[in-house]
Amino acid sequence: MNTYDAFTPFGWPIVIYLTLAGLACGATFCAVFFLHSKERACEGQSYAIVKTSLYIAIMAIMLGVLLLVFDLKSSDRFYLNFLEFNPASAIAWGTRIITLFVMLCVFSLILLGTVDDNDKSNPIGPILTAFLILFALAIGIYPAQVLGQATIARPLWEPFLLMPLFLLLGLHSGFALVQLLTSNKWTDKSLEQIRKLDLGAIGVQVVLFTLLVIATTFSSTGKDQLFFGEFALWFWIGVVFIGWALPFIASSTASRSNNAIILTQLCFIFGAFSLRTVIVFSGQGAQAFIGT
Amino acid sequence: MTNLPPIPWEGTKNKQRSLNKKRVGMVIDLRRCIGCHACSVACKTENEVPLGSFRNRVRYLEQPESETLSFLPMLCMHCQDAPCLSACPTQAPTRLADGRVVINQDKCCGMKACISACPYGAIYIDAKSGRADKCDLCTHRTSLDLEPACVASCPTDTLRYGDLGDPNDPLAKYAKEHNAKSFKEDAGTQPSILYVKHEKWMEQSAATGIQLSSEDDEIIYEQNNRGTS
Repeated sequence: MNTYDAFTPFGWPIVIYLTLAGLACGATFCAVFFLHSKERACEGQSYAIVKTSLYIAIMAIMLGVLLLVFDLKSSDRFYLNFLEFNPASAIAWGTRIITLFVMLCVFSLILLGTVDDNDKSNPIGPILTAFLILFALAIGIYPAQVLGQATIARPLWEPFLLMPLFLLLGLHSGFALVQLLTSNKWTDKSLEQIRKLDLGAIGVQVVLFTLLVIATTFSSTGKDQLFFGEFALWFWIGVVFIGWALPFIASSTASRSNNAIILTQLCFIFGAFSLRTVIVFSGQGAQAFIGT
Repeated sequence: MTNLPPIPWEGTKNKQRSLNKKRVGMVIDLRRCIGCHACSVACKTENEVPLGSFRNRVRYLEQPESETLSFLPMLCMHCQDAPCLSACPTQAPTRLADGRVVINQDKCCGMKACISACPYGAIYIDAKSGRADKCDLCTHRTSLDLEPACVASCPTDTLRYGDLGDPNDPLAKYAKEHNAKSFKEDAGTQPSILYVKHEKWMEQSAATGIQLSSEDDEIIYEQNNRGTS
């Protein structure tokens, strides 16, 4: 029995799930990006990237759900999430969103399977694309609302700041993973565009996280937990050094070797994971109302 | 337990209840508490609460700038605007017609969303069933017109049970007369457990709530020595 359940009910499986949900969101956006921007990748290879992106999205979210199921204290009763529906609960909505999202991705892959990689026609119409974007957005945002429903008890989990931050982390890490797995198929022009976007994404991450800290951790305990607590190393090394500083230095260099690109993308993914780790665990460590 | 009347699962869809309805609750007069743990023990026995978890727990708090101890019995606050009701995807936490919040075990899958959302640390996972559980104000006793076990066992009448929604109820009168207030009033959860002589510093000292925390070294130590964790 875990004696500390009431204090850290959300553990590593939840952190990994949040990261995987973000990856699924980002990979789907990457698929849509290349679906409608063939010139941004090597001629004739964009569908390969689209397919890889959708496979990543499906596998990431399914693995995440599997983790969630095993994390349940009564895993055999997981089906209750489909039988019961609480419209006020973000998790209840998330269950339905994930189900439809996976179905959409699988359907898109089936449609893509009907055309050749070099085919110029786009088998995925604008309506399906719009739904893919909508559900990918929902997958990226809803985990923040899951944490946000506990904001009375855990003030660091402010949903209105977590939502854009989680979405950005997901988009960034999702693109990074796709790039990591398909780097040989990207044109120099695409890589250059992504490099500039990387720099912007790091900047926005820093701004959003700073706002989150300013808005929610006025209490000394909150700050202690975040910057000097049990998970401070994750913040200073995982987030600040590996997630922000290293990729910033690497992305600031105009010409990068393939190894530098791979290292940068790995840093982004690990940085996103570290930031979610810090938010989940420090959020639970900082008790509500201390200092009020 | 098999001869007891069934629990009336009449949960309202709306988490915010009208305050003119029945609202069972308690007033805990901290001036009278001697920290004897009779309420905790009675609760543990009555509800077979597992080792390491509590439905009712007396916190010992050091008064600031003094060596004096204060005692603070804590239990589920049966909030009128309960965060656990919103957080649970399967609607396991349910509000009964009399205002108390109970967990419908048949609907719980151990998601822990309610545990995360509760600002009082009132909910725990029962290790045997793998489902969430907490104080239900002894529904099985009150449906037989008995007081909750903690109230019945208190030697100093610190804990009083009744209907806060009825202005003529002795409890509502007592609460008004002694200016009873809720714990963590700022949270806006409108608890149905009110405290007399509750002070703000107690909220800081008892922020870890009802369940055990890493600060509870002695209790953890005792458990470890008994081969449990």
